Amino acid sequence: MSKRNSRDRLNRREALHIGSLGATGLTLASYLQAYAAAEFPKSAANRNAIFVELTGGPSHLDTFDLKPDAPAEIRGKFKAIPTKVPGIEICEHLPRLAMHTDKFTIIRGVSHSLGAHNLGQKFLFTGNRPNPALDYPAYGSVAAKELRAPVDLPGYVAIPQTAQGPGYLGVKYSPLATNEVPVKGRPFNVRGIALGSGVTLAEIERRRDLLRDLDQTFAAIERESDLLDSLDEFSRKAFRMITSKRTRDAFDVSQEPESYLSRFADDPFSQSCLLATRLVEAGVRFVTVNLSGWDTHADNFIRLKENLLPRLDAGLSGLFWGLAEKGLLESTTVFVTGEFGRTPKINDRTPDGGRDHYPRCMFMLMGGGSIRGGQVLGASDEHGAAPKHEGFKPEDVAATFYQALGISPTREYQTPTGRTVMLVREGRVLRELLL
Amino acid sequence: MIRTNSHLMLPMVRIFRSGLLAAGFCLVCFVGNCDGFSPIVQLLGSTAAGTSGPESPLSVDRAPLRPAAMPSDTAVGIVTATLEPEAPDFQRHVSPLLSRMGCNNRNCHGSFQGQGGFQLSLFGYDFLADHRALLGGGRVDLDDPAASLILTKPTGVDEHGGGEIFSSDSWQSRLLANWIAQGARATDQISHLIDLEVSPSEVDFAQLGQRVDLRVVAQWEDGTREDVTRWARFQANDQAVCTVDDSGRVTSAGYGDTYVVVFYDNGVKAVPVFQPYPRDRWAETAAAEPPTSESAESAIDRIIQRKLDRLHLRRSPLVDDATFLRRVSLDIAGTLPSPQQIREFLSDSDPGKRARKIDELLATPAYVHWQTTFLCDITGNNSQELGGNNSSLASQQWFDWIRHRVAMQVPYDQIVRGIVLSQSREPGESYYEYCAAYSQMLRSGDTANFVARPTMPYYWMRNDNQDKDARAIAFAQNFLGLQIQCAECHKHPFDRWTQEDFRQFSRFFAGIEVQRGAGALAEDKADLQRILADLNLAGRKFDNQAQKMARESIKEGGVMPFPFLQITKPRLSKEERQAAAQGSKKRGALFYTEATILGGPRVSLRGVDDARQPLMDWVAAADNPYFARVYVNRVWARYFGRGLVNPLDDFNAANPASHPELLDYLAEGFVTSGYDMQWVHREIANSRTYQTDWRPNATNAEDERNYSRAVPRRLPAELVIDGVAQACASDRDHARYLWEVADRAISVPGTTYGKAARGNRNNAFALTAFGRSTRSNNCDCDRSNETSLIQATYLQNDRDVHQWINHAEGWVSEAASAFPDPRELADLQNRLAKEREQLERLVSRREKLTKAGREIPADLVQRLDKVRHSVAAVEARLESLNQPAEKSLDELIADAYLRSLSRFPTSSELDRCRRYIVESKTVRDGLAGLLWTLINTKEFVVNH
Repeated sequence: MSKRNSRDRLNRREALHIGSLGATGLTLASYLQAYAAAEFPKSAANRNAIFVELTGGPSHLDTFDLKPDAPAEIRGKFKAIPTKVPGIEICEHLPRLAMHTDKFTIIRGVSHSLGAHNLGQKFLFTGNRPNPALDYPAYGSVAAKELRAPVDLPGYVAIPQTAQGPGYLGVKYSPLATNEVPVKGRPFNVRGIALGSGVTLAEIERRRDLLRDLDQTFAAIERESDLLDSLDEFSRKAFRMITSKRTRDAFDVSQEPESYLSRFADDPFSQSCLLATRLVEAGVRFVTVNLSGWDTHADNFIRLKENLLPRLDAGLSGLFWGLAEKGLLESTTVFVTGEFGRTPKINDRTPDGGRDHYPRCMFMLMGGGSIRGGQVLGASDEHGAAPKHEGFKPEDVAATFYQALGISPTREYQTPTGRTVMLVREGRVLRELLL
Repeated sequence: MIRTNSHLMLPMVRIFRSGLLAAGFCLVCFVGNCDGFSPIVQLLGSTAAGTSGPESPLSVDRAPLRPAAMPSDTAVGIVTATLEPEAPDFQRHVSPLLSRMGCNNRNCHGSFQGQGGFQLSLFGYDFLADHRALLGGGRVDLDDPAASLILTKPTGVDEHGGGEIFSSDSWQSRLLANWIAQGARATDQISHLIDLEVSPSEVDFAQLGQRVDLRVVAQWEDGTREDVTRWARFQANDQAVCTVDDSGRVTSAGYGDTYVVVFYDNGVKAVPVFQPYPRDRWAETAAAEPPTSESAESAIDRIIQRKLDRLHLRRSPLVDDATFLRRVSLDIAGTLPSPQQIREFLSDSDPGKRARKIDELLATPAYVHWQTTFLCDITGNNSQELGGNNSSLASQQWFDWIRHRVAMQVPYDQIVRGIVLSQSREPGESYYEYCAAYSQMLRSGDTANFVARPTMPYYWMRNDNQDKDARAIAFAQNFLGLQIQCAECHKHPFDRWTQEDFRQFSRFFAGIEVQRGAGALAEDKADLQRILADLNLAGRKFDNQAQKMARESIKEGGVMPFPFLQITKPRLSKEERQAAAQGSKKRGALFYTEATILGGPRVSLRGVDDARQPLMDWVAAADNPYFARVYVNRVWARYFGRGLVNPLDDFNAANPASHPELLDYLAEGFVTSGYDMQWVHREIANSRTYQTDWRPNATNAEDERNYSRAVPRRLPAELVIDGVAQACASDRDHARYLWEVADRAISVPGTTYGKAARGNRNNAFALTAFGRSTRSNNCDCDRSNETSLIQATYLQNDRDVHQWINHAEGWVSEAASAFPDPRELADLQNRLAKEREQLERLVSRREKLTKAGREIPADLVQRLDKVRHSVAAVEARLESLNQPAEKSLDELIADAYLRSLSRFPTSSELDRCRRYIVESKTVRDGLAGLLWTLINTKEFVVNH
């Protein structure tokens, strides 16, 4: 099927066409420069992001928005503990993260109305309320389009995957998914990056030479064809990536010194965080990591206490520590969110109690690059049932996140069907969150 | 109450849809904010074409080549000279003026919030509301017309956020003042526009930079004719070919053809514009090319040729046999030709061999599966939207139901009927019997019983297809190629659809309900109780836990409840009932009594039990303007990479076909053939147009829309994955790809995929990377043929690709084992020498023991046996290697080319490949590297 008209840039033939008419005096060379510049705006130099998906919908009341004074059927079983920043308290089962509250802001009282996992995730992980007529791009896909990455590195990596696709931006801006997570103490290879099956670097280079000589069938028409031209462009970039030591090294967490490795737990989430810091250090611009299992309809407290919170605590504290250690905290924005909060009232489905989906009130964390840390922004009411005062919309946080990355949230794109769509519609940049 | 997972989701979808709509928010345009449709509409496919009036958006002008006809003033009525009408009319002059000045577009007063407290209907056509808005807020001052805000603001006398739009001494200003002075009257009765006559009706430019002025005459129902050029809006669909200004002056800007579209009132007229390529290039190639010997020009070719002649384009020559075979095998059957098939085809001297090959391909299972995938794209076989735990089976059933019918050559309209008019329960089938039958299907995983059912109900059971508006949008896109979602909230900006059209149309879908427990019948409820009792679930909530238990019991032969479609008379929604009942004590009507087909007749629904029936009758009527055209256009796009209408699912008056006659011809032929899908494939594939070479000549390098040459297209996702695996397969497997299709990517039924097991083609990673249709948005753009970095990484370095290349049963292993490799030879000779030595040692030891009269230990006997066998094996291998090789190196290289690029290598390619293999460590390594390289050429991943 034919590609839809893409109007956010001239196609090359059109440009040549115009040039040949002398209407603009645009030459091929200057057109290509303009093209390259348009693809990679320089405004957002040195900004990176790590996006932490807490899929399943983490309870706000048992993590970052505790209500010690609420009745027991709402308060739950956990106590609040003081943290590095006086006045900020979080759950007792996040003791290590409590030592890093100066590095991020807790956003409370974020509110929306989509109580199904997939819709909530689409909303929260794209910053746009889902719409049956249009797929919005994941944050990372936008970053992949707007932030320039080194030639031999992917701009956007998902560890191990993300359910949110590139939406209307097109498959070009899909993440490189690692599909697996590193295992502590073992070298880590990624599908498509690591050379496997006995193919050596020297051999790949020989093949590349052969390819250059054999791939000549369309030589006469390549310049005229967007398709053939972009096939070449991506082929060259893939080759650079595969043969790059830097790229292979970036994924191989086992190359970190023991003193660094020891700060990350032997757990897939912690190891993902470890890999994320290493990738950003190498030049990857956007990384998603995932900790799932927050859908605690049953056994809420047991599951949080014994599994989820220790893992979150170890991973996020490692992440913030690691970014600071590598000197990347100022340039790397960290955004942590699930798709919704959980009901204030504890259900009695199991003896331990559970909490159900609750989009009306949830928490998020944002820290690192461009973000003012060490504060709590917003608040929920006394039972964590709704935002106190006006509350924040997911769009507001999304707009702020993009702003932090140097991407204007009001930037407009053309969808494949030619509609003009604003990156985040109805988002208000939360100035209090920004430095 | 029965609840299932998917059930939980439905209300959510509904809530957020209706929530947005209620908030005055257009889901599609996002009007309400500043984004949405650009006010200027060059975004339509640049192929837009056709000259269709408002009364028949597809009543295609059958003679696009006729000389431009000037409208005659002596025709019915008199064209009033209306440069400055004495009595300006709201509908005819004021409202179009507002449209033309852009007052009612989304960035200004057409925004759903209005602008500065003043709101107009988006893109106009709500004359009552617009008149009310204009007269409100002191915008019109009847006593002192000049002080009216609608004059002082746009002229910049008063502050206006939109700046100065026209000057106070302009005709616009005089017109508004004149209208106000005469009482600022509303439109009493809406006038119906019969036609827009645009002259000239076609524009033929002789040279670049030339200009032509268009004149637009409105023909009203009351017989009046009026020159409305001044009130019309103009748009050039491809500004590389021509531009058009506000006054209707068209300027030639480049070679090629496009349409200028004229909008006035709810009329849309497209005027074809031609700027032929330079004649000298044409003449040159005409002289250079031998007279055509291709006698078999089809109707398609004649239509294509007429336009080429008009544009001074000369088509490229007939494509060679090998390229043709690759192209047609991929397009029809999604499969590469095998080396054997290529050799046979090339050596076949029958002049009818191409037509024969097309017939052969249409008879293969690969064709059936590839065509089924296409139909699953159109109808939206999306596993995620089928919800619940049975979604992968449901997707498989959906696929197999269609597949069986494609294989049986069931006509397209019959297949669509079976989907649109579907019922879950067959006539007389009780709820218990239905659940028992579905439980049995789930137990066995076999789809035969489902396939045997006459209809396929999942289309209406998709989670995202649950309210009548969503269904109307999906149906219009899926089967009619219409984008009517705009009209859900406001007048369609480029087509004639209004909100009222939308509301009327969506009524056809108001009687479709998915029952997730028992249905309306009492016996259904008894059946449900029986089922739940048998499951020991009586009185319990049918939650996840209960469902799990029920599914377990199915394995032991139990029966569990299944959702089913229940078709009722089309019902009013609760809100509509309340609105209808308001102010009267009588209960409002429960059912719609009539509905209107898009651009078609009003249909009485009294006494109609299933409103889908009259709709389907209209859809599949021979003179339906969309149904057949949309299908043939989609098939055409599969063969050429673009449709006659682009985008494929955006048929509208402002986006006519590049070759309207051809679209008509194919649609008529399709209908006449009895909706025989194979007729369309055969007609297209046999045409000279399809069999044109991709190499450009001096005239057509810049042409990509007139089929003067084949334009290379990236292979669809499924064919890339299957193609790589096939290129690497053994000779035997390669040759069977057309027939053995079960494990192929073209057989993946829905949109969930298997685990990314090695070498698995049912693989989300690769299929997603190459843009397989997501079937999620009712858009043909759900499938992507874009290129990406991940695709390149996949082809160069994915473990699946490496594994296929190096597979023990793949071609590289097979070919290498038949070829004596010097290194292996040396290895074997070394090994033979060592093993013979060892054998001698063992033999002499045994002899010593025998001489000494001692017993021979068992382990010595064993070792002797083993070494003897090994020596024999090595000797046999050496013997086989000493035979002359089955194939020379050159033949192996040719095989590699044939199995991947479907052609023989040129002599310089052969030299280069030979050098590469000789420099490789082993022949095996060399062949692996060669195959890798060929897979990574652009030639492999495009069809050309």
